Amino acid sequence: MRILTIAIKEFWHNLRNPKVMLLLTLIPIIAILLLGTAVSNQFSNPAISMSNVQIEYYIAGEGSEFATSIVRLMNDFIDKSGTLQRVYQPQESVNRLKHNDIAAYVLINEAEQSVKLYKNQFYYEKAIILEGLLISAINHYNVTHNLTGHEADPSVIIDQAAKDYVSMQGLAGQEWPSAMDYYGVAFSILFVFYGMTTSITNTINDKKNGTLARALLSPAAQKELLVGKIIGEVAIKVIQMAIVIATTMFIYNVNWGAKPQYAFIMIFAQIILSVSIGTALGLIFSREEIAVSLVHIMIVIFAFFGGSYMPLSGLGLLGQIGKFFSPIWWSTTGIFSLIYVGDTAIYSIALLVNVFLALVFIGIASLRIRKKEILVNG
Amino acid sequence: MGIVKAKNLVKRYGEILAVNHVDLDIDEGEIYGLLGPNGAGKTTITNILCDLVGKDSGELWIMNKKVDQSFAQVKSQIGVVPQNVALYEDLTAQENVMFFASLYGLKRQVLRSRTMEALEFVSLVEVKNRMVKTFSGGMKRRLNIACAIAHRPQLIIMDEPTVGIDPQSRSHILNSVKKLNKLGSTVIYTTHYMEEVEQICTRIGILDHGKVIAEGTSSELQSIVTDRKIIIIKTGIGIGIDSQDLKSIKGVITVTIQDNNIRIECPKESDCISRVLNYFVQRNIIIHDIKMEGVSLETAFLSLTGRRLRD
Repeated sequence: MRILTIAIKEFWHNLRNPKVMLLLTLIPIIAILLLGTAVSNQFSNPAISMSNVQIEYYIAGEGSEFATSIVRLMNDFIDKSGTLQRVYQPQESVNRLKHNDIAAYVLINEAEQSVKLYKNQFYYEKAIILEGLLISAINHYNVTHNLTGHEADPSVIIDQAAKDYVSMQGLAGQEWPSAMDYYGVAFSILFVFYGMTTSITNTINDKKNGTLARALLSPAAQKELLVGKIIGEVAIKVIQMAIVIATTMFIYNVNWGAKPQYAFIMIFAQIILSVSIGTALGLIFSREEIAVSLVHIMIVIFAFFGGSYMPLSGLGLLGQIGKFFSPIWWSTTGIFSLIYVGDTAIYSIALLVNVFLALVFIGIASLRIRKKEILVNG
Repeated sequence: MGIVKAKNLVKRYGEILAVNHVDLDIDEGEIYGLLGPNGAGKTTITNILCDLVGKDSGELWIMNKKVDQSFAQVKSQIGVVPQNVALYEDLTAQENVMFFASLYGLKRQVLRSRTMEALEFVSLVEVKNRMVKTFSGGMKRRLNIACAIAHRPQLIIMDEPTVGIDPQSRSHILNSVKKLNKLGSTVIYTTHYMEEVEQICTRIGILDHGKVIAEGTSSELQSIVTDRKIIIIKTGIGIGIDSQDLKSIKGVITVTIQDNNIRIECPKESDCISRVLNYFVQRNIIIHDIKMEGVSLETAFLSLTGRRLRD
């Protein structure tokens, strides 16, 4: 009962602190939005999407099997959100191309059995794909024609070429996170860790204001005070993170995986870890600025090795070893592995790491709160 | 046995002997004042009494329970008003009292009624829903008391509860202490304000350098210093009197001049008075009033410790 009372008090106390609310709700929501949109180019999918691409073509001729095959080929590569439109005034298409209204204009000449591609630099990547596709198809058609020396069915040759030589599959062969997907998850995890600074501040203020000493004067056991405090802080942080995650999920459309509940369990474990570290450090240190500075340095290192700021690569041995000491790396990698690879191994280890470290710090905090004299005298 | 009994309490902080073999015997129903200057060891003693700080040696019984063995049992019967205001600024007055009272095991209806009772006691019912951060220093001090009494403790330990507040709030707090005592609580009251202990305490312990050097009622303490008397002379306004001249009179110990009131301290068994009066007659200074006074608690303290309370 006392634990519940302490937890409720802690909850309201935090809820009324605008600094706490700001740090764990508004700041991550804004940070995810800014980074998710600002660096989206750095996160482009290795399989470049042909979505929203506008292509126009002109057939000089009657519409032979050759031209139809080329058109069908292009059509297969453009997804539903794009358009492939036949035009009858080639000059108008050229003008639209100049004005960035379309990505490419294709001139199919039946008499010469040739294809001319006009690319727009603004849609460079998409036009390049289309170019590769057309070159592959035409080359294959020409080679087959030269080798066999007779007219073959162009639809079979061209279609076959497209399937054999041009693939839109990404190198990893898997789904790839956008910048928003990446920062939505990575920053949610990062800010849970930043939340430990509010636990430090709360605990040190409790000591400074004498409220902790006053509570210790009561018949409430030290473990009741500690557990109640941790539950209260965890509860408020769960609500704060729920707001952040809901925003990323429903407004920013961040991919939390097919089974997002697993990601939420990880975040929950992390919240417990963050509050436990913050409470333990708050009980150890008497000066808030020292404890918070230490934690900030620690978080920056953990975040760097954890890949919170950017996906890690090319850090060499330092990065390969350093990441294993970062709880952020474990959590981030665990969640991403689960979402994009469906691998639960790292996720399970990460969950255990969080729970184990949380227990260690709760142990430290419970040892510390027994030393009433130190708490009273700062 | 009294409600609090301490034998030979000792507490050291490194080289500093904060509590020096203190004995206490406080009976139920008393308002016991621990009087001493800053740094005398008052807070350390109260912290030991409420088990917030451990003693190095000595024995302590509270409500007939030896502290080392079964303090948890008596904790719920003790209320502590700490020296510094210990409140949650982001909670309302009512929430603060309810929270601390609930730690003492009060629940639901009892908790609510005792909270209101405590707030009423310190005249804060009207502002019960206001955040503490909006309170004045005096209001916070009163709320500090409310948080310590809502569970109706038998023993209330108040550590300098009037530090830094206005005279009106101080008067309110002193009256509250007397009221709590009348309601049946024993109060241990620490202060460095002489007038407070004189006003409310039934017994006083004078504390200096961690040691209780004298103990008794106010008049008992004053009578300890039996070898002195005070002459207070009132003269006309604007008459210049040199205190050094008066001090040079044989037998005069101290001279304090404030406006036209002259306070002279002399040994009790001396003809100092006639020599002082002779001084005024010789200089044709008209005496409007003259009276003799016994030794004040302040003088007793000075005599016992060799220093003033606010030194």
